[in-house]
Amino acid sequence: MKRRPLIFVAGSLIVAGALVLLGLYLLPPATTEPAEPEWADGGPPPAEAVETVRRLSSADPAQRRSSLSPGLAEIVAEVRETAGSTVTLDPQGWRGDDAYGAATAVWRAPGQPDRGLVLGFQWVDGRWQITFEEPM
Amino acid sequence: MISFLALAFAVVLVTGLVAAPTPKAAAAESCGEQARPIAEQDGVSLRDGLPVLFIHGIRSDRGHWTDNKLESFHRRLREKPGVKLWTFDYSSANTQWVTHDSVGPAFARAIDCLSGLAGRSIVVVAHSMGGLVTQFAQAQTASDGRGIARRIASVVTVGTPFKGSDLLSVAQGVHVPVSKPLLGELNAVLSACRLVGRKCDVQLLLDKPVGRALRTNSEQLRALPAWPEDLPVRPIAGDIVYRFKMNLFVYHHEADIVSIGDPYVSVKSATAHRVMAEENVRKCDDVGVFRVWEVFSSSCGHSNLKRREDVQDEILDAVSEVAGQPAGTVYFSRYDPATYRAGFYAKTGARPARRIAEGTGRLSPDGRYRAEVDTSGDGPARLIVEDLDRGVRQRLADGANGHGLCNEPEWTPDGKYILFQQTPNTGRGPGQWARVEVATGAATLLAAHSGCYPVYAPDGQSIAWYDGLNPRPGRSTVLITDADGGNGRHVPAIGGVDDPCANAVAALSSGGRLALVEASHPGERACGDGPGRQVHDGLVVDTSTGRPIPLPVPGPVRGGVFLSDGGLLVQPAGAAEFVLLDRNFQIKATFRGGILAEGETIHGYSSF
Repeated sequence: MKRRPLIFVAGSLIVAGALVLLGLYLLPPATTEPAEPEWADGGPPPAEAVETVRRLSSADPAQRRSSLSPGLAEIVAEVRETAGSTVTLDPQGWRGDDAYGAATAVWRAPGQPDRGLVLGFQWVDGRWQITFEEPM
Repeated sequence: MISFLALAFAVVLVTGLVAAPTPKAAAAESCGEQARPIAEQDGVSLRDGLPVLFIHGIRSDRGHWTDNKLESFHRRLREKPGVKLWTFDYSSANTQWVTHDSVGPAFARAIDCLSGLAGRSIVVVAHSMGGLVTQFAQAQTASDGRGIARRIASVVTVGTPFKGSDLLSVAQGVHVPVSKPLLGELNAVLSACRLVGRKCDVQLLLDKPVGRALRTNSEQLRALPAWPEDLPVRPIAGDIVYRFKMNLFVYHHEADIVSIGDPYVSVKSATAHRVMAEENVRKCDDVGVFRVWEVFSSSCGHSNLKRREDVQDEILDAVSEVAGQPAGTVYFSRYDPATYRAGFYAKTGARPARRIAEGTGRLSPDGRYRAEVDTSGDGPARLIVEDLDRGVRQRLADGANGHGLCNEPEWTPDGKYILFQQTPNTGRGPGQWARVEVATGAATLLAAHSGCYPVYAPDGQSIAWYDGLNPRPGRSTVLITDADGGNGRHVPAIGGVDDPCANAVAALSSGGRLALVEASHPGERACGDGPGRQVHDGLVVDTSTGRPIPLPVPGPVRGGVFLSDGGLLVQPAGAAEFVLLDRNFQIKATFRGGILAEGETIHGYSSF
């Protein structure tokens, strides 16, 4: 006889749970709009952009500077050499068209943790040239 | 079965009889598919309301202004008396330039319609290219044949590229006259633009008509009509201050901090047209935390400005200012005794009075034309009409008197005819008057000789005349006739005091029931050709008794006009203001600023 209230409570919980599940199944979600991705989908970087990034890490200051777009070259005083560092564009990190582009990349330097990087590009005189460079 | 059906029928019948009648909801008003109220309550009872019409920008739609995040902003706007929120949508043609029929011309039609429903000019709040659409629309023609600009009380623009978009120009490879650091930053923004996908749609505009038109100082922008000088335009600009930071490879100069605008529109372009004294620039200086791809999500970013509370406050201020102003335009003249001529003015709301003409005569009720009796030189008087919008003068008819006394032209309330004296005054009475059609110059003589200085009632069915040549005890010098000059009756002595000369009449109400007349001052003035239609010690009287009707203004009035809705516009004597009274003679609004306490003559009032 004493078990009856427990059975009643358990049964009620099961029914309530079933109703909740049914409601979740039948009712539309509160937000119908999917969350917008922060960035556009990426693709493989063009070879010219890879070459520009290689020049950015060059030991030759002129080479480093030639990787900058004319606009950025006007603004910056120098392109710093970070000895032994490399920048690798992400294989699917390129977003761009025939005029402008941007890419995600990884910066690696001896003794330092890898850092994510974003580089902007502008197509000038047959080359991709860097318009900005910022850590992620 | 039959009994069940009968029972069901009975239940339905009884329910129908017992159920309380559903109150009939006010019908929503319409201005076409492109203009819609933001909420249901904005679409009803527009009459005497203040419509605020929002227009979106390039590659957008009405959703820019109906965003759920703007709900509290909408609520704050609706707290202002009579405010109704509407949006205009041209998304079906939003890569077209403003001249496209679904863009600028359609917006002009929406303004015409909304202002017509409200019976007053509206407020326009425009984002981005919506401001250029407004600039185009304000120069279009409204249904009354006059400019749409008259239907707009105030404009707020948010990030409008009045001089084009440097960013769009650079993206199109067009040279723009900007500094090299800024050019570098714009190129950086365009690179970052590719990163953020849908948040930046510059590349989608490049080969579109609107993309070409929005190039810096483009031919299309230069071809846009000028804004009227007296239309208040409040431009709001976003200004992101960005600098290249010291990152992994690249060093920057401290001096290379550059304002990149919002960044679609530079501050210079967004504030290129402004009437206000100060610039409304919202600055976002996020040096140190800012990343170039984040310019699109900055609160100063082109599409985010509307969400800033200070921008919303600015829009609220503009709406409050208009809501607190008298609606409509008063047309008046100011006599210069030194030249014997008058300056004619239009005063809209709280704006400064605008000089629209000079000379003599009367303005048409809508202020569009001026009629004058030209008595210069020899020969008969000539009726001249000047179209003030076009600056064209036309000789409409010839009269008889070689002087202007008595013969002051009077417009019919619809502005289609002018009363003009045709035959000479005699010792026994004034000459005969004709109704001259403005469109053709055709003159039709009134049936009877009447008086001088005629004044139409707003319904056009009665005319009040000054009749000082036949003074009789117990009656004033104010004669009221039908529109054909017949069936004349004199208003009894004003306030019960006979005055054989002085009771000039300045205005007559519909049905000829009330008149604004000069009080009696026997012996103070000499009789002659009459005092014109000026009143200095004016009273509104019941024309059947001559008894004054009290007005809610201190002392007598200097002049005024009755309105077709039964209202009255007067200038209290000694006050530098015009007071608009409703049909119950309660004060509806007061026009102040640019009005003298003496010397003004009110000619007319229009809703716009």
